[in-house]
Amino acid sequence: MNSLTQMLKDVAMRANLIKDYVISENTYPLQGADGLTGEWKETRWANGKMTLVGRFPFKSAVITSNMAAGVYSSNAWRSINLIFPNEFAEPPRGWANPQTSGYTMAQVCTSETGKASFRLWQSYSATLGSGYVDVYFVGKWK
Amino acid sequence: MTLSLKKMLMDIAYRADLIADYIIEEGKSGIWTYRKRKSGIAELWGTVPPRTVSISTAWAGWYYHNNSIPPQEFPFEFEEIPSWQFSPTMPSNGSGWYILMASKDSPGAAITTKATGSLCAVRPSSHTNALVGANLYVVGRYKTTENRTGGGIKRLIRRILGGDLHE
Repeated sequence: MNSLTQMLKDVAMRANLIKDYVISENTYPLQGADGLTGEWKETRWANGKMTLVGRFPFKSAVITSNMAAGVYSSNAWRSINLIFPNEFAEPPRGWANPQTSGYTMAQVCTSETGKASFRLWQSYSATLGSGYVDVYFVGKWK
Repeated sequence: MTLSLKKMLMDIAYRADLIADYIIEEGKSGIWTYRKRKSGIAELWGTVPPRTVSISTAWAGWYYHNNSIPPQEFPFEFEEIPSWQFSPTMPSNGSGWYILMASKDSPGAAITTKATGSLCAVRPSSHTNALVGANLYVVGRYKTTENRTGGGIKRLIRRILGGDLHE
């Protein structure tokens, strides 16, 4: 027998009262990210969409290693690993943008169902003060 | 006050904790399309139309133009600084090679609860006639989550529908 929740959902869907709705919203601490700590906000929608919004603050970032011509980063920041609190059904699409005291770039490097990575880099050598990186992933949880 | 059947049902379902969240308002304002959810989360996205700027100030082996994308006011104020993603838009003729960067300090404005920060266009060679635009996505909290009335309504619904009261 269907649960009350399922029954109400079915009625609402069949009556075309709603297109979609959120089934869960949860906050998780960032896990296993190369010493970086932060917070994930996970939202699951009934139609299968899942979004993860992350904010990862740092007190300083040493961006002084010349990785390539005109490219400065460091071993610590060239690939920051992020573990998702729950797996996506397929690799999600991801974006990363930093807010720092310099002219700094961040990009998602890899995106798999259960983890991702991003990098922080600049065109010049510098040690940054406090800042943060906002990341956003969207995909399917089912 | 009149409530639509949909709003009434959704509000009951939310307060009874049968659904986690739902959209209570959506609309357009300026460049923004926005959606507000019952829980207090709002997301908005928009495109800043391209304008011509001169990316020609030399800096650290690159060239930049400050405030290429000025701060974009939100249609409502957030409670805390929202999460913000941005990507450049470029003309299809391939002449617009550049990236966008935000800086939380000077020059330019940092993101606030009322508007995005300013974005700086950067490229590895000087270009005095660059078309610079941006796609923006913002998500954050516009109000504190309301307390739900919880089990009372849930039990009432179960009683009305003949559900099990003893789970």
